[in-house]
Amino acid sequence: MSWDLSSDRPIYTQLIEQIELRICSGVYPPGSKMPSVRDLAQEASVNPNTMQRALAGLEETGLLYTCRTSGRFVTEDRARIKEVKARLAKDHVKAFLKKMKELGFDHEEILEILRDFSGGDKK
Amino acid sequence: MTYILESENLTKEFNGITVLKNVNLKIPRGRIIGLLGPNGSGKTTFIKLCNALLTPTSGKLLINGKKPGVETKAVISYLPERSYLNDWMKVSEIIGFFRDFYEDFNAHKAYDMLKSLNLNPNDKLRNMSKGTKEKVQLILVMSREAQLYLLDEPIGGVDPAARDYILDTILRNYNEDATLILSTHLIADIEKILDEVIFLKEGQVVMQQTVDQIREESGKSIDSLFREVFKC
Amino acid sequence: MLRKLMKYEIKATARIIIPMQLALLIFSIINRLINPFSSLEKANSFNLQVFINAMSIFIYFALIVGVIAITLVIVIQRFYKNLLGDEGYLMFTLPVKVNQHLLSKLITAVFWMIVSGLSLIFSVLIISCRSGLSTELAELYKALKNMFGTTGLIGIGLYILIALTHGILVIYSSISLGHQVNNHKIIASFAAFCILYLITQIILAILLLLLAWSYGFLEIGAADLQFEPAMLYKILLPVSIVLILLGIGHFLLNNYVLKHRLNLE
Repeated sequence: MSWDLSSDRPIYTQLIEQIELRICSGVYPPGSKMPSVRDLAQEASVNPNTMQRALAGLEETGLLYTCRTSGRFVTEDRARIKEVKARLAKDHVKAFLKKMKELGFDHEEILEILRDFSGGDKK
Repeated sequence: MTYILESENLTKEFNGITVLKNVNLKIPRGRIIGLLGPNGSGKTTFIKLCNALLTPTSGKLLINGKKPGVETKAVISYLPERSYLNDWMKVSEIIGFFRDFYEDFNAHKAYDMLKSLNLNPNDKLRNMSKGTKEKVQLILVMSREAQLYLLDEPIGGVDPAARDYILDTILRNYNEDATLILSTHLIADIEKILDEVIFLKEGQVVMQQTVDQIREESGKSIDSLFREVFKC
Repeated sequence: MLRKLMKYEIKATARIIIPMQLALLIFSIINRLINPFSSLEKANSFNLQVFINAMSIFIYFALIVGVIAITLVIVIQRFYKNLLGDEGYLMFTLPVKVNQHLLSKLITAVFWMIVSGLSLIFSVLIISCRSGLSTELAELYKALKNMFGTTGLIGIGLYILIALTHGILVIYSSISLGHQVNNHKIIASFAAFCILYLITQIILAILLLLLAWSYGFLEIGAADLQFEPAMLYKILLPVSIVLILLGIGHFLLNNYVLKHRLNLE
């Protein structure tokens, strides 16, 4: 997974989003140890201070926690991760629906498209 | 001494032309700062003043609480825009040179970086291409455990792959207690690694802010804001 | 720091100077073996042998002039290129005082000039080497000792050293001053050199006149005076002192210009 950062929004917020994404999708599994700030910053090609702040922000919301001697870990609280996943899903759906409405589809049409699409996937 | 660099009404004139005017800056430690401005805005002059390569016409400039001189030179690692190494030396000899004069020079690091670029320490600098020489210069500068790094246009005139290498090298060798000041006019490439930017226009500071604050308040990238501020 | 600077000074300049000295040495030996000088004396017709001998002599003198000229050029070029060219960005950001830069270059320059001088003498000795030379040299030495006294000879040696150092400092001042102008720096340096040289000569001329007057050399009947070793002191000592003072002045000038008026391009 590559770091998808654009320059016209605060990097700090984008980093939080991207790490949340990785936690939800299992790139950083629950209870696993996070790479160091330096390594993460290098991977994402961003300022280490910004990465540090993003990680601190995630600690505040409880997705990450620091063990004084051993480093930073992803929470084992799967429920919390699920919450974040749900929130992210909701955001994506909201954005999707907005776009579809802009294209002029109504509620029924949107459901129809979704049914075909996921049906097609199953085949 | 909380600030690594402080300037008060720093002014520099050349032949009656004011190149820097009343520059007031307080730069803390542990930041990566972009010194941004068009050509001729005074970025190089400011950096030269920090290095004691120029003397101020008026005003105060303190590095680590001291005026630029022998003591400040020992804690500053400077990468000028040009090729400044003695041609006749081999790479290993210039590493020896840096090790001789700078206590904070880490020769191990330098050799490691050279290896990762497949550069032979026995090569003569004279025989290297311009791009390779620039990489060697960067390696030497980043191998110092300095308190202030001053990089003057490190990515100008360099291909995009080399640019990535340079930014990667900077991030990899970043020391949290040190401050790194990058002067450039190629902003899009580097803005993600910056903490703060200082906009310099015609020798004066027109903005000094953290980058995320700028993005939040203006909804733009630094590159876009720069184009606005410095529209011709 | 000074020692480290000098280490690199010598490394940078030895690359050219040492091979040159060796070339001179080797060519002296070759010349000695071929012995063109005496052959030419004996030759009564122009043939290939004579031609080779003549070329040999020509090349030899060219080498002698070359050694001095090149040493001088290296002294100048080293100062200019290393301090005022692109390398200046490296040198002047080292944690080293400006006077240490100046001293390291000055000492190295004087050192190489002395080495060149000695190798020239050595080369002449090689060329003129023959039996009886050592006795001739011993006699020469005795005669000189009688004229000047051992301390006098040392005095002359010191004077040469002082004059040499002063000369190099004048060159450095010319380069530093020439660097101050925006265009045509090299011509400006040359002009600065001419002016400084002129001023130095005027000062020395005035000094010599004053000395001559105070010692009574200017009075009528002065031509009858015999030469005594003491006269050497009376002239060399004041001149040396003046040269030392001027040299210090140049050193301080260079130090000031390079510290406060540096403007690398």
